[in-house]
Amino acid sequence: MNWMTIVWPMLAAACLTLALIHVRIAFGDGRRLPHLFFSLAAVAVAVVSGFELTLLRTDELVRYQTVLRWAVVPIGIMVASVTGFVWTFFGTGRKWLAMAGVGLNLLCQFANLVAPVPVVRQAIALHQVQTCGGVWFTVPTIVNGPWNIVELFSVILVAAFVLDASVQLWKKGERRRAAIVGGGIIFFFCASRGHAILVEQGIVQTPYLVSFAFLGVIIAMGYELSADVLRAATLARRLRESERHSDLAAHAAALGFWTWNLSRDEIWASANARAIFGVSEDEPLGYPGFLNLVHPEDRDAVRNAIEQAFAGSGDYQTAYRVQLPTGQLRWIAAHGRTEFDANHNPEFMSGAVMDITDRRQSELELQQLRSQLAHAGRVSVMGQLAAALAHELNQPLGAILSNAEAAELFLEQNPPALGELRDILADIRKDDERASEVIRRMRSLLRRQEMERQPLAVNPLVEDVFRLVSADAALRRITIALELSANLRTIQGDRIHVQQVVLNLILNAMEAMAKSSVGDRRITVQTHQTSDDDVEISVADSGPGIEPAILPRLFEPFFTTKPNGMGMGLAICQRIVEAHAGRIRAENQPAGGAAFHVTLPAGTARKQT
Amino acid sequence: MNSGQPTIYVVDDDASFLQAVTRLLRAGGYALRTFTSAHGFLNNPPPDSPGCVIVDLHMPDMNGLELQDALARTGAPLPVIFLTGHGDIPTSVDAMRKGAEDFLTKPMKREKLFDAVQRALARNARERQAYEKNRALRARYETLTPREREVLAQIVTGKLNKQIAADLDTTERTIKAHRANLTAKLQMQSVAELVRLAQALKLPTS
Repeated sequence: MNWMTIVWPMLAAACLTLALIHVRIAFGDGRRLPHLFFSLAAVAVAVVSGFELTLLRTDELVRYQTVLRWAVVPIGIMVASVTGFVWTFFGTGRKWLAMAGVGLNLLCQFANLVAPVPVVRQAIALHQVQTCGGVWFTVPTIVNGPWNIVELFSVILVAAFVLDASVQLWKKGERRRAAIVGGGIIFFFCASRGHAILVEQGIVQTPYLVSFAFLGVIIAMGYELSADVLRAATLARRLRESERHSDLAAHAAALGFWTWNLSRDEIWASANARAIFGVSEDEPLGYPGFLNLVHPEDRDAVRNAIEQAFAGSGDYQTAYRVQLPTGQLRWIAAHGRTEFDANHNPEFMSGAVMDITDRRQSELELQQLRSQLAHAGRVSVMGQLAAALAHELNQPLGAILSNAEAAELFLEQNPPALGELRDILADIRKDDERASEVIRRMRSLLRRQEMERQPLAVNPLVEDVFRLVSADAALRRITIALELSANLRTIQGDRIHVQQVVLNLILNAMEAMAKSSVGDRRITVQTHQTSDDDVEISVADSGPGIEPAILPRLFEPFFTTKPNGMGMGLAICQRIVEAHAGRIRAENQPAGGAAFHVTLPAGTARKQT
Repeated sequence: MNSGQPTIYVVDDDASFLQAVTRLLRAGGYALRTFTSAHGFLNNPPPDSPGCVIVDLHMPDMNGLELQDALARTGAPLPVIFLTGHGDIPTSVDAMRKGAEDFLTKPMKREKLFDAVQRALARNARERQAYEKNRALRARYETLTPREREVLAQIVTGKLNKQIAADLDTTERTIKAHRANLTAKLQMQSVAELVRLAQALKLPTS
């Protein structure tokens, strides 16, 4: 046992370990070939080191010659796998150089192996040399065979390939890799070859150090290769982190993700998505199963949205309700994108769902509030007018009454104070005129509000009112159907006032159906072009209808059938419609329920008088 | 104490209405003075004599409620009757809570108005009587020395002479002397009378 018998096996062991590690990586990694070539090279170096140790410790010439002849096999494999490594790892360099170098080299080794006398190199004598530590080792005297020059040429070709590949890689910007791997390989190739020549020519007397030089090659290769592995590991970690972040984000935003494989009709849904739909983690989901979860009234809308996505750009966006097993209703907003195959057939659809129940709820409440405001607005404008009117009128009325009562007292005096009476009568007349003036002023105020006129499209106006009352209607379980004719002519008028009419009629209809059974609360709003000159808006309900006896009085001010009504709604409607040179009429429908028809002139309205 | 003919003060910015109401009240036999603004009324404070105020709730310079507050700060407030063209419930509640005699909506009937005026004058007479009595009591109280007032403040809390002497750091004999003096000046014998006096004059007690 001496240091030689320790160092060479250690070297071999190190190489084998590296080989094993990279074989393992090769079968777990996408880029398999560089790792395999590397492992092969490492194993070859381990074997070379074994041959080397054997040569150093052999003092019998024949045996030495045999070992030397076989030693070229791992060296050939080493050269070939290093070339393969550079080829696959760099992806650059002239391929023919590599193939020529490796082919020539393998040919030399093969020839050396099979020829009766080695054609590359032959040991003709051995002698023992002592080196540091007092260890004796064998040094051969070598004669180069005729193929030696060919073998040298093949190695030069391989080195040229590596140099070429490295230069190209350098130019591509991967300078470190080119310098370390390419430079390392060329340097250690030259070093091993040069040292072997020096030993064989007897110029230096050291053991062969081919395997050490090759170890340098292996380290240079392994260093960069493991950098790749490290990078992959870092990437994997980042990917995991970003997955965790997106999970967190999804969780924070209460987003659920899903993917629908159409060919297999399988829907994958994230845990969040399943929680949103109230579906357990392991329940398999398909399209029919999904549709079943959707509220029956929303199924058609969802189906339409999906069909539109398939027919169009593939983008899918909709909102629908889901009935949870607990009976609770949940509003869901869904967004998705379709992936098509080459024939534009949908293959996959994936996207996100979000629970928007709270948002919907507050939207509904907002709409309700708005419609209550519209309600209150109607009442409060009237209330304010009434208060102002009362105050302005009560002043002269109070004076007239007091004057009259004073006059009564003066008349009782004996003799009656006639002068006072004359003054009183003059004052009463004055106050009476004052009261008339108040009323005249109030009238002109009311009239002035009606003068805003512009061309109005009736359908959008009706739709606006519909939006205003739809939440209120849903709450009262009333269905409002819009049957709007296309190609209506515009009318001339005041948007707010005409809306007020439609709103009043719809609110009246809703109130009329308060006592109807829930399934039978229906309002139909229609628009028609009744003639070239007239546009008609009809509001029909399914309520009890109007008592024929009160039909003629319906539009009278202060006429009401409601316990808390002011009796102004229809009166105001009529006033507004007439100000637009239109007509309003009420009727009972043959099938039951009341209908109100507002006819407004189309085009330029006649000037209001 | 002036107990002559009561005066009715009418404040309304509506000249025509003011004129009519003036005629009516005069025909009803009342003496009155009229103002077309709250400031006009407050700048000519009524003399210390019986009466009441009829005021319109809505006036441009100062509304009736503010006038009522200003009146309440004087020693012997005159009762207030509010008139309004359009009465709303919160305002009337506010006015009544502050001691308004009545709250009438224009146009008001003669009987209602005369009724309110009669009640206001009766109330004013009662209040004036109470106020006069108070004033006599206060005049007598003013004759006490500061030390006697201190002793009185102690007596009305129900303390014995001995305790008062200890509290005021003097002898029981001195307290007895003070007590004799102050009851003589106030013309009162019992502690109960003294307590009523302290309450009526809103005296501080120790």
